[in-house]
Amino acid sequence: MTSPVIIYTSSFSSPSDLLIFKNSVLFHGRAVDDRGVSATSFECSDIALRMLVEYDYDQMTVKVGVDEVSADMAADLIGPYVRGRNVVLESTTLGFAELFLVIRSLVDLGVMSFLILYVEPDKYSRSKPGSDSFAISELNAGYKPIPRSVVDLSGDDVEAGVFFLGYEPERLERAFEEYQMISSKDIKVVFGIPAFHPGWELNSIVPHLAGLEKCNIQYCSANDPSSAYDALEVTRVSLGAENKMFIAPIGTKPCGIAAALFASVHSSQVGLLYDHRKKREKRSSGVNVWHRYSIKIIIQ
Amino acid sequence: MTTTDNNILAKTRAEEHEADVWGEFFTPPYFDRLALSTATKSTYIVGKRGCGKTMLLKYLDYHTAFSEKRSEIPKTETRHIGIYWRVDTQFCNSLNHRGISEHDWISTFESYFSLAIAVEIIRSLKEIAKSAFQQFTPTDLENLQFESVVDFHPDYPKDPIKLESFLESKRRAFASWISNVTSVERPLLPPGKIFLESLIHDIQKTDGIKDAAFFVYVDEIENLVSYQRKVLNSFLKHSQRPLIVSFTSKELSDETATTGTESINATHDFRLLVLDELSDDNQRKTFFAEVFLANLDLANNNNNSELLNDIRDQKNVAKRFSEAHKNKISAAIKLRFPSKTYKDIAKNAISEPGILNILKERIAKALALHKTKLTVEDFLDPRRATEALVIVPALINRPRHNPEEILGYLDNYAQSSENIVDGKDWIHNNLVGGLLELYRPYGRICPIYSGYDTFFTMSNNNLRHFLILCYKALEIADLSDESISEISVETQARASYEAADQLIREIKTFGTHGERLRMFVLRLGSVFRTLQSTPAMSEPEQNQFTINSGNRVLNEHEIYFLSEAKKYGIITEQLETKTKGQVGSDIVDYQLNPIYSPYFQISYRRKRKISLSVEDFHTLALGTEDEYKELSLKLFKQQDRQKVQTELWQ
Repeated sequence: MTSPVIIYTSSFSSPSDLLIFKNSVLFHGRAVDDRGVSATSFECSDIALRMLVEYDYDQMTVKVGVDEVSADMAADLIGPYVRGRNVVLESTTLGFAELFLVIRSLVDLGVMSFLILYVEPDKYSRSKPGSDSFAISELNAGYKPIPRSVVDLSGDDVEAGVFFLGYEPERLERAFEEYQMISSKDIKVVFGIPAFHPGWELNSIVPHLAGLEKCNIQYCSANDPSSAYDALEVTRVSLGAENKMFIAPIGTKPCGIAAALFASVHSSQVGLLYDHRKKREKRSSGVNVWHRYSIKIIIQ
Repeated sequence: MTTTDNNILAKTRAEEHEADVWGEFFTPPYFDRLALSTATKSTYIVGKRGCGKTMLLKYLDYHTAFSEKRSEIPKTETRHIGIYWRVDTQFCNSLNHRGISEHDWISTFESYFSLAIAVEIIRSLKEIAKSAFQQFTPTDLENLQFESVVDFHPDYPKDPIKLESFLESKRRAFASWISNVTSVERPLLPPGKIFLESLIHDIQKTDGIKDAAFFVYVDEIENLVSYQRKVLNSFLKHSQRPLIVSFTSKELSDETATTGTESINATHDFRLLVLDELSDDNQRKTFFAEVFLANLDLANNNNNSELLNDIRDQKNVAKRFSEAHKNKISAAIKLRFPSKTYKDIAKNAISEPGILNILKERIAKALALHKTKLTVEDFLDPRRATEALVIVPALINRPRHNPEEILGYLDNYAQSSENIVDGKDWIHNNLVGGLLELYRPYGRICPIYSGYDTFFTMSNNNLRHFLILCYKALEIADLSDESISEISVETQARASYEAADQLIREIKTFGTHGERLRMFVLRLGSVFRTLQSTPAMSEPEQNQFTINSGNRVLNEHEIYFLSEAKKYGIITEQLETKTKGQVGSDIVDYQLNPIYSPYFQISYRRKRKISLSVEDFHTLALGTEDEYKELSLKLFKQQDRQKVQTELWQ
């Protein structure tokens, strides 16, 4: 079966090499580190408009620029900005919830081709120099719903779950602690391998080792949404009739991109489980590779 | 042991067990006091993490009560059909806002609750029919008809299995609508309480289960949004047989309102059962040991040991209170986790050349502060008791006593065991601190963190923590090819450190402030460690704090942080009443959970406290690294200065 989502990936060392279509609107989040600053402010005459998108997980509202609506109505807010324009999502700074809500809105609006950018850092900040753990999040509000992709984990029809894992083992541990019903489901954990840099994969695998007893372990490239998308598809096709799966995108952003796309095009079968942490200021330093993902969605 | 056996010992959380825990649930000493099967009104069970609450709920749940593993089930069992409802809080949180009024959400949530519990009620009947319960057979289930459901909607099937499937499909439709409230049509759902009552009424028409009563235990009630708690409060307030809704949570919910004008309270509407308060320390201590030993029997495939038979059966609770039983358990666990007296630990320590060298070096350094002809060797006379030698460096560092006097005390102690100086028992007061300081320099684990009594104290009423300590010790002993039937104090101490390390890492998962709580523990522990390392050790064994000064009161964020720290058991609160003159004042002391003490090499005993200002507390809890470093230095200097001021050091 042909996938309804096609992702063309290209990578660059500088934003000047990026091909951005004329008259584009760029949706972005708040920059907290060097790469975020570069990703939101790089010069490009083809970008006609830059819009800040923010999701409020308590009120379940989304804000684009100064306007705020219930996240269920996100498409109403995004519609006017994308009409007659090309669309670019700057995923380095957009939070996962924002990324999903924008993509879901684009699908609702019939915008089936758009670009997603992602910038890798030189390095992530550690808790202390030489420490094994990383200081990339501040507060973690815990797992809170994202409208348009809510899942009732206590339902027996939720058969499987896929966790994309990153550097923070406590996020997975907390999911198991607070949602004990998960343990009776078919759980797959996916590590980003190859990682952004050789050796970085150990930063995610080693701290998670203690908690993976009941999980199937799989791997997908840390910076390739196509690879992550394929991993999700394997689980989806294995679902029983009328059953559902959930995705917990708590790993790298390219895996989050795949999760957001997947949940948008398979909305009746897929729900999202996401913890809304506050990104720490200066969570990484330096700017490395720029990724340009060109997305094409074909829904029959 | 085989791999499978080790798996049994790896389970320290109730969630790692299946829904049916028959044979794995060990009856706690307070079980008879719960009197849940005969309850006529709701119960509110409060229990902190690791106290055994979830395991208790699984035991009360119908999966266990009507387990296929039970060969006989009394006919009274259906008078309490437990339903343990663990809520998906993130899903329930989505039943809020989103352009829908709270009034609408209230009726939606009532229907959702009713839908979920109705499915559970039918499933419980299926389990009962499959079980050894003779009064309700698979044929009875086939014959049972829910006659009343057509009153709610003509499409509702009367047959239990078809109704379950129908309600499941409703639930799926409901979940789809919740995900897409603006684009999917809202499904028609059964109403709330009246629907459940009608189902139960139909169930009671079958002779064998005519007294069937359903007890719904809603777990983690505190994590639901406010209006949902009000809905469930209404269910609780109007609960009576045959449908009783009870709550459980880590702490008592602060929402007492219902959806009407009434409110709920512990006197009239529910029995409040605080699990920690239902048994005393002695009972708890025996129970912890029983659980460990019983699990060990299971791991060794000794499935019908006397202990397992005793501890599984509710009828044996009273028997287990006998002195003979308690002594037997105590002896068995002490054999496995032996301890040494502090005096013996001191003796062993000094017999190790490395530690003896540290002691010599410290005495020499302290002597250099005095004008004295005494040398280190004068103090190391073999006639001297080692427990006294261990504290010599601290004593010499205190200016009040000169070295000659201290030597005199040592002689006196060697001859008459007299250890009272200035009205204080100086060995008792300083020995643990002295030992900790001797072991610290090379990162060695001090053996004081060993023995069953110590493990119990460090676990601080948390069964899971106690089991982690015991299992870690077993694991380390096994890996180092040591005897696991009598684990050395050194191995136990190593296990204590590893348990503390693991549990400190786990703090990150404790709610929204997990990472900050972890930092707080690391900061607080480091402050206690630093204060203990002052050479004079004038205030040994500090591991508590009190907030009793400052230019302002605690603000909202700080109060919330404290409540989170208490909720997750990072600190424990003790109200200490102190009277100064005619005026009595209540002081709240907070102790750092002693389970973390081996990580910092500080005392696990509740001893001394430090005084913090509101601002100091803010820095420890929420301050930046720079602010914390400044505070740490200030507290260290303060202690040093106090020493100088009080003892007039020149």
